[in-house]
Amino acid sequence: MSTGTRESPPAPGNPRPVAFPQVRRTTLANGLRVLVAEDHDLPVAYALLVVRAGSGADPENLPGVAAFTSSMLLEGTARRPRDRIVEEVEQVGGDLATSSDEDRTTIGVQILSADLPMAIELLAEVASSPSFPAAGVEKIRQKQSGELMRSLTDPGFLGRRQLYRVLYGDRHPYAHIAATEAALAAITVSDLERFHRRRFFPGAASLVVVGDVRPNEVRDLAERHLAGWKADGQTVAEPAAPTAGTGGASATKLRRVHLVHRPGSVQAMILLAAPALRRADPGWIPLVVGNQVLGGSASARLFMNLRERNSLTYGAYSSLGARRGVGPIVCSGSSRNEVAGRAMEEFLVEIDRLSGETIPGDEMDAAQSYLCGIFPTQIETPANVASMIGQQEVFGLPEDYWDTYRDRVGAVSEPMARRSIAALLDPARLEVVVVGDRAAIGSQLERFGPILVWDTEGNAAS
Amino acid sequence: MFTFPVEQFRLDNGLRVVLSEEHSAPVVAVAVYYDVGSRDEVRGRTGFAHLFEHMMFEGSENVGKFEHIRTVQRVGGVVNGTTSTDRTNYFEAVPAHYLDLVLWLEADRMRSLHVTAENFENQRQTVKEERRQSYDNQPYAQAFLRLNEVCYENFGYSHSTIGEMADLDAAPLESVREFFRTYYAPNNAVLSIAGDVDPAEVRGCVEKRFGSIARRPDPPRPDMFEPPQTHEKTAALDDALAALPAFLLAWHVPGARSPDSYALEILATVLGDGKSSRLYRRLIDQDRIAQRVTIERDERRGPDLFGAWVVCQPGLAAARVRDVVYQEIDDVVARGIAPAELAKAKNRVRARFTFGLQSALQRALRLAEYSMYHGDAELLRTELSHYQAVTLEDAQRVARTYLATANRTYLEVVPGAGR
Repeated sequence: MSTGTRESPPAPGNPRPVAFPQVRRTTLANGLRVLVAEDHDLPVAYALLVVRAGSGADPENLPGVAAFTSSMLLEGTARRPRDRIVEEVEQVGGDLATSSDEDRTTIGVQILSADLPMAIELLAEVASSPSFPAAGVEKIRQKQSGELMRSLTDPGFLGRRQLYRVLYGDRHPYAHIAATEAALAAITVSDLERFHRRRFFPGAASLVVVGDVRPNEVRDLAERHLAGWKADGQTVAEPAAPTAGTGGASATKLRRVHLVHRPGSVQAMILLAAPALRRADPGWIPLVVGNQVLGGSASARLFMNLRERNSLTYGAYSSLGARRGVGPIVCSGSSRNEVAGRAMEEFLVEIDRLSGETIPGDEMDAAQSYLCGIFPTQIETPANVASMIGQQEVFGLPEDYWDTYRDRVGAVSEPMARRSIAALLDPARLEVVVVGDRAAIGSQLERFGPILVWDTEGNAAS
Repeated sequence: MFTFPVEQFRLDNGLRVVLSEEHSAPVVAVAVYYDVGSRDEVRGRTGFAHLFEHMMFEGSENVGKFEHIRTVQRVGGVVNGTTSTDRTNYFEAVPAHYLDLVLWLEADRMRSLHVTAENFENQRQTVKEERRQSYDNQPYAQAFLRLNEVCYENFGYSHSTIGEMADLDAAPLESVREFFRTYYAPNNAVLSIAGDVDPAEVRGCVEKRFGSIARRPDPPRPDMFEPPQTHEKTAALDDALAALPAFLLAWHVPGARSPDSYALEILATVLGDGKSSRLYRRLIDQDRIAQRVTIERDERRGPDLFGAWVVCQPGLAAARVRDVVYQEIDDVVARGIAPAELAKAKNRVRARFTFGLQSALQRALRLAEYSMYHGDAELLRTELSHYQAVTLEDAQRVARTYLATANRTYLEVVPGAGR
């Protein structure tokens, strides 16, 4: 710090009004919801068809069916072989992709807006009438099997996979994040067809279109291409709150350290987590503010402590997992082997502080003004706006959620923010997962609780 | 098409300024580019440009350690910096009424970096952790560093931007101040501002914040001459963290936005962009021998590389998959591409260009890069026309000229994990 008097930063100008784009909502006779927001800055459009079925709806003995189905959507429809589906979108410069997570399958197109009619036609076809050709199934099976092998070398994948097992318990719909090799080998065409038949239907789907489009035009396109989608299905049951994990989570258990042994690792990837809230829980917004204080950005406590003060990591953060059911709160960072134990300690110091002391006004203010101030940047592009509308649909948030979001962030008091996060992160009962080389870091972790060692395949190691 | 207005001017101290006004969202983005990257580093100092970038967040005359980031985030800003082979950039996107705050922050550290031994040690450790997290603990990451060492004879591009651990350990504190004096001069920088601003007002702010920063001697420019490669190079790398066989290919090509770069980009698009591209279809859909295939130019100021990155399916010999890629390359060299492929590639380049300009931050970054690399941000307007002008003959000619065996490097990754 220099010795002279510091110059103060300049004062801001007048804030300009910011509003979430108006969303036009309609429901087709078959139950499909259509949501449109206009943004005419550039001649682009994003269209998402979101179906409320993801890995949480996988059959219990077949993890990976939802993800497999999602990949199969582009492998051919009743009217078009794979090559034509992909070619038609890509020929005009667009991209068509499918993805899935715990609660949803998303089919997304980004395209120049002049080509939107073709994109909607393809979205409709791909969602409603995939043909599941045998050759495509075998191709995807091989590809996903290779991808799984590759994932098993990725510390982030290994950490998340183990974490969700212990957080949710093996039988919970959110306990697995990917297929297993055995399930990939066992999944049949009829498993995929059954999943599609049961879970893909207009009543479980929303079409979200944002960009240089007119609501009437989108509604007409939806009528033309999606009104004929007549399917009955079964809504995915609401996931239960997590109960018992592999580590035996319960109100009285001691903290355990799950060490995923990854030979040759030069860092320990540390994850400390607990079940948090449903995304639609009214307590979500106070929790977002509390999380912002703890680890929501580079200005937050975890980063400032572990990186800027103690040189233990490149970055340390905490984040909330958005789920229709109860999602997790996860603190994470990677540290060189020699300081794995010290890094763990500093994570616990910051978690402890949440229950021990009031959050200073300056920190509360920084957290809340960040969350409100970043809003205009978050709604700058059609892709982001579409994704935010998609979240409303999947998680069941009210229609005015984004219109009132900043007011509700601003209204969170210190006790609300602190209590909401402190209640979840009880240092004695956190789930702790570390991915690293057992020989290099094992002894440093013993003081944090009994250690359970797992191999990269997810089996208990001796 | 890029239809936004662009104004450019230079302050007396040599700072180049680019302004692009656009009022659809109440957001402004600021980018400051310094004309220094890892290509400017000498032996024994690898990684220094990037380590220095970290020091730019550790305090200046009126801004304390890490206060730059905290101040910008407090007002809801996005903030970061990145270092590449060719330049170092710093950027912020904030609600538009905080523009002057950001200019003040950027000007303060352009004028007066405040360096302490303690903060330098802190960032040395941070960058070493970054190297471990992004390279040393990741499968395949080392291969991308090794490829440049094999391809380039010129040290500027052959060494990594992240740097060698030994060089990071040896970096002396005095070099931070010297590096700042040499490269972080207003006359070696571009300031780019895009978004919801009034250009007349901004000119005044820019002059007020940056105008009094002293010009310094222009820094030396590296000699990037690369001797022509006269025979094929091959190498192999054991990767204990990788489970699947993989390989990289690279051919020397001219730098970004040189005359042949446009036809090369069209070629890269035909070969590897999208699920309907030639190599995706052949390797992933048809033969099912690869997990992933990427074809791209590095987009260096030059000389550049045209590269392929392929992860094979389990159990296959990388050389077998490589030979299929060679067949596809040979086919393009011998027969060129089809008119429909050319039309599709142009459509894809046009769409990518448009999608890449949606946010104020994207626009500020593109304009700054144009100004720094090509001396005129307005050239961004003509970028698409260069791609639209590429002919079938051009595509085949660049394939024949550059994708030759003698100009090629093959690096095989031998996986060691999962055995």
